[in-house]
Amino acid sequence: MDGQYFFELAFSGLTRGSIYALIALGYTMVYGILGLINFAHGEVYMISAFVGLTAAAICSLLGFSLWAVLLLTLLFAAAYGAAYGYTIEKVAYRPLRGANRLAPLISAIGMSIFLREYVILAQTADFVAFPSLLYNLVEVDFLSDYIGSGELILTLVSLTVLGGLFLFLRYTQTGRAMRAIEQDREMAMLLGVKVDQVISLTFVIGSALAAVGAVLISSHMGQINYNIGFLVGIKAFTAAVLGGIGSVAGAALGGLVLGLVEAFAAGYVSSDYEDVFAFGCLVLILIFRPAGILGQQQSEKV
Amino acid sequence: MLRLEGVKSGYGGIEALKGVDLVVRQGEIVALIGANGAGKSTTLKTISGLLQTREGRIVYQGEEIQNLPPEEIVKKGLIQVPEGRRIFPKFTVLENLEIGAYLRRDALGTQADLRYCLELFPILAERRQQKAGTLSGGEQQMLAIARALMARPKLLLLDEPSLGLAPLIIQQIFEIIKIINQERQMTIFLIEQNASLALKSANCAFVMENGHITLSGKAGDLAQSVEVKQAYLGI
Repeated sequence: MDGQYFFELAFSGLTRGSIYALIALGYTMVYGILGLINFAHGEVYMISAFVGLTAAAICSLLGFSLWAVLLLTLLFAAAYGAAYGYTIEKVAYRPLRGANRLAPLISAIGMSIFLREYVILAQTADFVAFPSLLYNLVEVDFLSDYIGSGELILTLVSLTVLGGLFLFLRYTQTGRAMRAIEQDREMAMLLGVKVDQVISLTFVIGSALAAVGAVLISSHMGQINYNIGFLVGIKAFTAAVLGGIGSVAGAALGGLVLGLVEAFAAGYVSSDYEDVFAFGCLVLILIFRPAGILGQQQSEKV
Repeated sequence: MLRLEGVKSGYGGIEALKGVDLVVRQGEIVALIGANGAGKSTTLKTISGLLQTREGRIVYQGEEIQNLPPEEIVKKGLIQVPEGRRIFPKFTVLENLEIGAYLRRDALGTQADLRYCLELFPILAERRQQKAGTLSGGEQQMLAIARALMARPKLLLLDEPSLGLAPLIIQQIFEIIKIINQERQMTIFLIEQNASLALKSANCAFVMENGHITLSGKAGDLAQSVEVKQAYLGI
């Protein structure tokens, strides 16, 4: 157990964790505002990966530089993912607002199945290769013993996006309106907040974050198929619950914790067991702190 | 300034307002008093657009506003301080005040109003960085009023500002309501269960029973009337 190996694992955990955090935010923001688990979120992630693949191919064909390809792919996938998020909310959830809590949940599962089947039919059920957009962009000397340049860029991009979201939520009137709706929707309406608009925006932002995560991790993994949204979705959802669902800081923290647990489990035990440790960690949290690390204990009103 | 004509509304199958007529004149403090369940809060929710007006008209500054979405009504300067204060507990005092100005785009005027609110309620200035959920009930009520002032209302709708507060705090809050009314020429429509208090502060008042207005007139006259004395003042 030397230090070198430890730091390698730590950085690998940070890389994974930052991606989990990106995707977990989509779950937690929607849950915070609507009290709904958006099961179609993983599918937005998956579709964005396919869109990213197309965008990357087009940009490469046009002969853009490596940086430009990465940036344009991210932007394009984010825009496309956002459009999906917006549409899903409009089609699957908005008509059910005010209905029984189970109705949108079932609608979410239906949406998820629909999107997977759609991708199988429109694209393919097989794995397709995803170009590695992240490599050979920079030479890193100072950390190269611990982390590859691709992982470094992945981590930096996702942490930057996370940071941007925090600033948005904290310092803009719109971000504040989102947090206000989370606390008391009716009161937010009484202050002039257009609640439906802000809810749409929440889906747009969450989906765009998932799309950024999708492009980054797909180019890291090298291949995608219609099913990638499932496991990542479950992991990100776990991260959101771990941190305290509904809490934005919790989702970020939960993502990082989950990533680190997995990386260390894979490194020191066996990579076959990383999921066991990840979900074991969730079980422990649910037993000892059911509201999550940063979640507030909710007392049921009788 | 605001006129309700035969307004009916309610929740689901229940009709809570069975044809309400009342008038709020510019610059006055108007009180709506009545027992629990008479339909006072429903009246307010209907005015601010949270509940559908099923029949009748709500006219505000010569314009029908019934069934407009709440944010349009807020835009016209009708701001409600709802029952139970409803401050945002996870926001700081300052954030609560800032979200009150959500629809405003005049940064200078907003700053000026923020200063005004903090002068009006020095305790809020002291606690501006504190989470609003940690404030006492009286402080929360002050915050709720200040938050509404940040929207620069033309007509301020107050729902039971005395609810659950100590007598001394209630007195303080009613003094401030009068100050706002005089200094800012703000029209105030006040809902109160505490009839004697409301009648002392208001210019005129309406008495509500079972979804109807049963009495109305100058606050001073109503305070002397036998019905009100017996039913609401306990004299």
